[in-house]
Amino acid sequence: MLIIKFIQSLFKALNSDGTPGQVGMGLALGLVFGLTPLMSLHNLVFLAIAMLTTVSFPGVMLGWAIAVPFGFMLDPLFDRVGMALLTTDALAPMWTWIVSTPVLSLAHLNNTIVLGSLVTWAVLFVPAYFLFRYLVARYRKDIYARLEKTHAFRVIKTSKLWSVYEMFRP
Amino acid sequence: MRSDDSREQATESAKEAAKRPAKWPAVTGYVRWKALLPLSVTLLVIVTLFVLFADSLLRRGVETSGTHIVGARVDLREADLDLSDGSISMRGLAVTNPGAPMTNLFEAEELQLDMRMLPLLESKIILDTVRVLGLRFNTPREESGAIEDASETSEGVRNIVADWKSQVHVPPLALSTLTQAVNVDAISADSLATLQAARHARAYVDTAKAKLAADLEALDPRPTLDSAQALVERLRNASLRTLGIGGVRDAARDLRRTIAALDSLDDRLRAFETEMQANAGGMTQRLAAIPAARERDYAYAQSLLNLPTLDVPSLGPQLFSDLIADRVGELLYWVQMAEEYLPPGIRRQLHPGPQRQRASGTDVLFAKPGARVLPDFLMQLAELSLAIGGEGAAAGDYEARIVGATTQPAVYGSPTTFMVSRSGGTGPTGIRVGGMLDHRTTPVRDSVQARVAGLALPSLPLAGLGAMVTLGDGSTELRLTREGDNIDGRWLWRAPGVTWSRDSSAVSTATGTMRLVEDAVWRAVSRLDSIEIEATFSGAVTKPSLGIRTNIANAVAGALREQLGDEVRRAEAQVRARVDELVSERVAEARSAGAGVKAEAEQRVAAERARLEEQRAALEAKLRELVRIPGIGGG
Repeated sequence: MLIIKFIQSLFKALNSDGTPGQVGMGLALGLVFGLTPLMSLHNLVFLAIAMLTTVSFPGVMLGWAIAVPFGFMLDPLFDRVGMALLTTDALAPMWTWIVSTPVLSLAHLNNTIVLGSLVTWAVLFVPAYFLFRYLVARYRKDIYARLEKTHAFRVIKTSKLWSVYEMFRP
Repeated sequence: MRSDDSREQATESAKEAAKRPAKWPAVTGYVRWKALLPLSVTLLVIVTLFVLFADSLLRRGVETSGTHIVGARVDLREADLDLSDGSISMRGLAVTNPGAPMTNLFEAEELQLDMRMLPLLESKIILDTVRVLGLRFNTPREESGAIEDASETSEGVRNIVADWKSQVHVPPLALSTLTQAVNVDAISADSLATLQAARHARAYVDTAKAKLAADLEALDPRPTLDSAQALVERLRNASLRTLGIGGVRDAARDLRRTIAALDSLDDRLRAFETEMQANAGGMTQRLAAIPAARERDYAYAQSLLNLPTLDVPSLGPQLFSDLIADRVGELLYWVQMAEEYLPPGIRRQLHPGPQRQRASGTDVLFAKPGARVLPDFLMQLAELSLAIGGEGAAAGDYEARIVGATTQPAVYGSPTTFMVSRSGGTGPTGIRVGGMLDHRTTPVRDSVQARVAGLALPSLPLAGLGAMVTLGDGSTELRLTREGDNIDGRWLWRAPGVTWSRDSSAVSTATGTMRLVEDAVWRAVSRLDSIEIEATFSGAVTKPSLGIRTNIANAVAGALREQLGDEVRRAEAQVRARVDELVSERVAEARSAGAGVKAEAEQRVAAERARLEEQRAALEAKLRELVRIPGIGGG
């Protein structure tokens, strides 16, 4: 069911309303939920942004699904990045201010994994946006028309399993 | 012009829109206003759920974190959190004693806490005041408070304390062994330190011998000495007449060169002698360690045979070591836990992040001493009141104050202090407890002084003597100081009116001698009206040495000396003889080998030096004779 859900997210995102830019932005934004520890204050903020702005929400969901395994896999890297940043003397005043500021301190940015993953995502955000926007545009222009005609695609779209899943889909 | 441009743009957009497939209609604008309401509702639901379940969350939080810290179950019956003013009310707190899971370390009927709300936004818990009512200690539990998965911290500390207890354990006094034949065969040669010391000494001697032989071989004085001797022989009858002026010059040059070679050889022989002295020193040192090892073996063999000592300082540990180790071990557990949870200075700037499915990472603490930064947890003032009921001497009301308890002393900037005093009640009893935990910097400095009078002291079995002393009401004094990794403490119990009882089931009826001994010991101890037991501990905080002094030991030692002095001395002599028998051969071998190597090397060096001196004297005499000839000179 997970795979079907993923495929469904994929098509839903790629075929969802909105321009490639909106879908690309949704995908790039969704990466944050998978790359950084989910139960974090910053994710609440990004969730609100995803819901309140006209970025593609299915794109956000797909970005999240794509990034989850990378999040687990790259934890050691995030740990190193976070540790390097948090132990840089020049940045110490900023971290001190952050961890002592009401609400902001709840973001737990003094944790190496949280900070490292968030910074990594922030660095990747712009390139990821352009990459996703390009890929979505290419997909819509070149691939979708051909894919739509394939038997497999029609089977998936019309399968009973899909319909059943659709009934229970949140 | 501008209106033309706008019109043109609108036309372009319309064309663009017309080209876009209907499958992906454009979503215009930047804000999805329709989502505002569901989002607000979701947030409202979250907040409502939090408010509804805050009490339950708080209760579980206290139980979970308390259990983690204490290393045994912490139960809380109910908790009320009032978010409007930050007041928390908790009832029915029970904290299990990790060392005795069927007993509560303490129970509190009610706790009232005033918490600052704003610091919560910095994930910090600042409690301005804490009032604890109805505090009771050592209450029994209905079910065990032991936990399977204790935190690594408490488990680690408990293991350290358990190790220490096993180290300080002294076998109880065993009178029965005295009347039995001493079986010295139980002493195993392999366990004796003297043999090991002798083996080490022998190995050192063998190594030194091989090294000296190799060095002497490398030194090889014979060619130089033989060459010198040959020159002496050649020039024995030489004169100006036989050699001529040129020959005399050559001979003088040869003599000087050979004398220089002998000087060089002399230097090397001196260096060899120095090395030999160093080796001899090492051998002496190792051989000197043997008598000390033998003394240890005597003690070891004696303990192996459970021979009772008549030595007063040794009797205290034999009577009470387990009992006192339990008490002091409990104290050490909390001293070490205090260090774990009140980490000093900046040592703990890095600590593990929270447990989650993802990696925990590391939390980096950014707080400088003196800066206006709040610690993660601070209990500014806790006031505890407890009442001891009944008619006992200790009955009355007591109050305790804890000031500045924090998980980050360096950030808070002041030491944690506590005191307990009596606030009401009758009777001549008194309680004075005070202490300070200064963990602001390393080394940590802790100090506790406590004096409690009118305390109901327990009944103590006297290990190995078949007697029990009921201490009744008495007093206890504790003084403990810790600086860094070193601890120093004294714990004294005084009981002025004790009662004795004899455990008739433990009284031996095996032999008449045994009964005489037991009766004598019983008569000696039962005459004691007052008891004093003093435990002293000092050294490394993880394994301090433990000393126990008690006036019971004096009485027991006196009685034993009277009854068993000769027998104990005879048994000790047997043990010493057996140890000597097992080790003497090896020790003699080691000593003999050491002496042999030294003598041999000294003899060899002396012989070479004598030959060298002889050759040099002959060469110098001949040289003096030749340089007197005109034209040869002193050069």
